[in-house]
Amino acid sequence: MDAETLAKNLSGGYIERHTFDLGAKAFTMNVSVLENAVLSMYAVTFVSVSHFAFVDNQVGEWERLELTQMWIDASPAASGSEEWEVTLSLWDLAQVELRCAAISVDGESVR
Amino acid sequence: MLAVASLPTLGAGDAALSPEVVGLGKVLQSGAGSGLLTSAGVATRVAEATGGTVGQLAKSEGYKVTVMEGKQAIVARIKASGDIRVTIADKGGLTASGEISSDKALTHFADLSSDQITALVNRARQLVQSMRH
Repeated sequence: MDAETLAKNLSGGYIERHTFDLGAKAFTMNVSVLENAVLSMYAVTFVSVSHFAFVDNQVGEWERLELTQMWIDASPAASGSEEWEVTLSLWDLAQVELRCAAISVDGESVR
Repeated sequence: MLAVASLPTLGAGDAALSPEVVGLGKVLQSGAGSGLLTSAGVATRVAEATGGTVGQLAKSEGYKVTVMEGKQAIVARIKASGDIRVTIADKGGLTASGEISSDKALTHFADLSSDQITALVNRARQLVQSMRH
């Protein structure tokens, strides 16, 4: 899967499960996307994460996490750090900004 | 495209401009595209009608209107492209008939007027209020 398709497919989905393994430097999230009554599931792993920022000005907690939009800000070829630069919007209210060496979806590398 | 509607007139000597109108004036001065101008006008009108606050979208061209109903945030996202969503944070998006849904095909709209978006935000408020009881 290419990065543009990944961002398009995941935007509007819900993050069902997510883990950040500091030892492995891997952020993993399972995203379910319901569109026209068809449910698709994606297991996404951001590999060798070098930067992870959670930007949130809201008070309170969320039980559900909508991946409102995903942006691929830069590919490794276009990035100064030669990494993927990614932003995840949660409910249009908070953002996760990360950089990583590789992205995989269901075990396959994103191009 | 979003429905075209009149924009507020900016007077140089008007000292009582709201932050939303000042923001719109900056968009006007920037010479940005008509979609962005229209989304700014729609967002301003929705905010005025609902008591919400206008903010720019983080990475996309357009604006969002955030309305607090108690501790629950309701967000109307109004992109310059015309893509519009109204969501209740932690719950889901609203369909055209005003129901909460996780189906993104049912919760993304195009070409809604400010009145239609305001109606969806008010419906979201009703839903949040009913959840409390």
